[in-house]
Amino acid sequence: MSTSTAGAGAGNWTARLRARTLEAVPPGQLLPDEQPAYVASWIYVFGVATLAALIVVLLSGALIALGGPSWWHTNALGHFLNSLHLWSVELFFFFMVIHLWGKFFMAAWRGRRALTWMTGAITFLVSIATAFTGYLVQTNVDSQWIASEAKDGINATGAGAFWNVLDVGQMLLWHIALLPLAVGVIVVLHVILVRVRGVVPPIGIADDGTPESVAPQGGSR
Amino acid sequence: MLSLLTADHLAVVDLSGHGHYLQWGILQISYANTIVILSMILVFALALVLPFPGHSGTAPTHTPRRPADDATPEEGGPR
Amino acid sequence: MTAAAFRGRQRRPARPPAGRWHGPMRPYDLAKEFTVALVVVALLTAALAVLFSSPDEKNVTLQQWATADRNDFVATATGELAGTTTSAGYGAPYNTNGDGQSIGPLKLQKWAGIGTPVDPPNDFVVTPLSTISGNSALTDALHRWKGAAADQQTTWASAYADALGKAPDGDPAKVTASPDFGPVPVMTDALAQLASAGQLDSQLVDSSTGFFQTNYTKPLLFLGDSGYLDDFAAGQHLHGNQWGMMNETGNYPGQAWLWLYTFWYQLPGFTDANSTLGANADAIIWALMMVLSLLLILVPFIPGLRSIPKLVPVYKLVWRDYYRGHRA
Repeated sequence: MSTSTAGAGAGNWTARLRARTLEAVPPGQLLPDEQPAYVASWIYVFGVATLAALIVVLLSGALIALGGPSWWHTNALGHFLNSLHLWSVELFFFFMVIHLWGKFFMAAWRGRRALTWMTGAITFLVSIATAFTGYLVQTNVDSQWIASEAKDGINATGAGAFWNVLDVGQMLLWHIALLPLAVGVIVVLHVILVRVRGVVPPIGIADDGTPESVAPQGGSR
Repeated sequence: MLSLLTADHLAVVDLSGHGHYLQWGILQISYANTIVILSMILVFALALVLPFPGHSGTAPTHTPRRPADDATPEEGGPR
Repeated sequence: MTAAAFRGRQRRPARPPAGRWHGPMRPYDLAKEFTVALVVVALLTAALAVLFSSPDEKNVTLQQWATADRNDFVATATGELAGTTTSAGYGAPYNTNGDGQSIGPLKLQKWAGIGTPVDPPNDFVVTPLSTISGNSALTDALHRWKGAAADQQTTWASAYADALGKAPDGDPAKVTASPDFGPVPVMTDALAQLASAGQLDSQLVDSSTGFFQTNYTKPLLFLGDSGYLDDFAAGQHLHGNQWGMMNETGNYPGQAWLWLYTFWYQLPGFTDANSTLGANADAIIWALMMVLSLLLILVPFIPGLRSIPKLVPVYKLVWRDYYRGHRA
């Protein structure tokens, strides 16, 4: 595919968008069949494991949604789907935090990858909010207690004036629509950034694979 | 705590009984959360030390392949 | 302008691709890795679900509360009328009966205003009672209550609350009748009967939208004013000072990732509700967690914090094979 804008007017947005996209992510970069030789440790599987767990979370949640918010209390299949949803969430956080630990100790924000780190951290925080709303819409005594307790924290910030954890309808829609959408968008950005920037090289190794002559400063450069 | 079949859910291990907690000063943590957190630390440590299959760590397998279809003769293509 | 000159003008200034590796590579199958991960995680999830299922402790109703602990129900209803319950003096976003929490001069709770108006004595007691017909004693009591000044209402309810507090087990039946209590004993007894019959639960759910209701603010606030839900929570280690945020009912794992958020609630300064720190614990801890969250996001820019990976060289384990094969 040509990156040339020849033949198109200087104001052709499509041509300019294509050129910029291909400069950022050349063909083969988005779905590569090779990777840097240093990507050879089990620590690298936790990103994809987190993503896989997220997919199981979304699928199990969608299946629960088929029957509405309360059917799982009195239906064995519904309860099993709820169990799948709970354990996939536990695995999601399990893998995500290990992924975070790994990326921290690899200083994975180096080489203009600060945004990758930031989108990852934001995903973590938005996921916590999503899980919290999930606990609120279980429609059992756990939900009642968590709502009663959490309201004080949220009210103290002023957000309680429009975000009411005691309103099951509002919390359900945030949990199944708004927050998963937010998580999805940020995760997509995060994954694209990983593909665009590539996996961070080892500390002390330059982009051509040779050792750097000077030890790197800790931090983004 | 063995097989438990109730009207609305199956569980090989019934975790719905009285919760068990470890207490040490102000620290109080459930057995379940302790297992989760210790497992995470263990898995993290194992991920770091276990050998990764198929990587000899000696000669590189190959040098990077240029994407074949993103370059035109006069442009040289981005990389 | 020639085509080449035009393209030259369009091309962006050359710059080295950021972090674009051009050292040694190895074969990699991204699609296969993702598929394997998905299958493994799905199977692991299914195994955990079959082994352990998930918790589901049945929800509590006002009917249960009024039946199981009528004394506590009556005491709470009296407290609503006296304006001494948590809801009655809460402040924003429910009412203006309190200032709420603040961080120094920042009164975010109050400034946000009333988002969900709740008037506990009327919403929880008087209005539901007004739906009952055929009880002349209650009708008279309500008429007397509504016709009295606010000060008089508070005096009656406070006197009855004191008497309940002194009665054995807080049992209303053991309180000697007195004109000092006004119509309060009749009202709270009738409310307990209404709740025991299961008719109060649906009445308190927000009916401002008419037939369809999803807002449980009022029944949950009323329930929260009692000790009933509190007792359940204490038994399950769900209280704030029991690291409750992290915990789940029974022996299930909870939200372990909330450990740092719940940690602050265990510290002595925050557990004393009579101190400024304790009274504003929620606001202060939220602010603290927002700052810490921002620090997490901004790690790449924070000197010291971003140097930890170099100082604690876990990375040497990750890349040991590469370092061994590519010594300087």
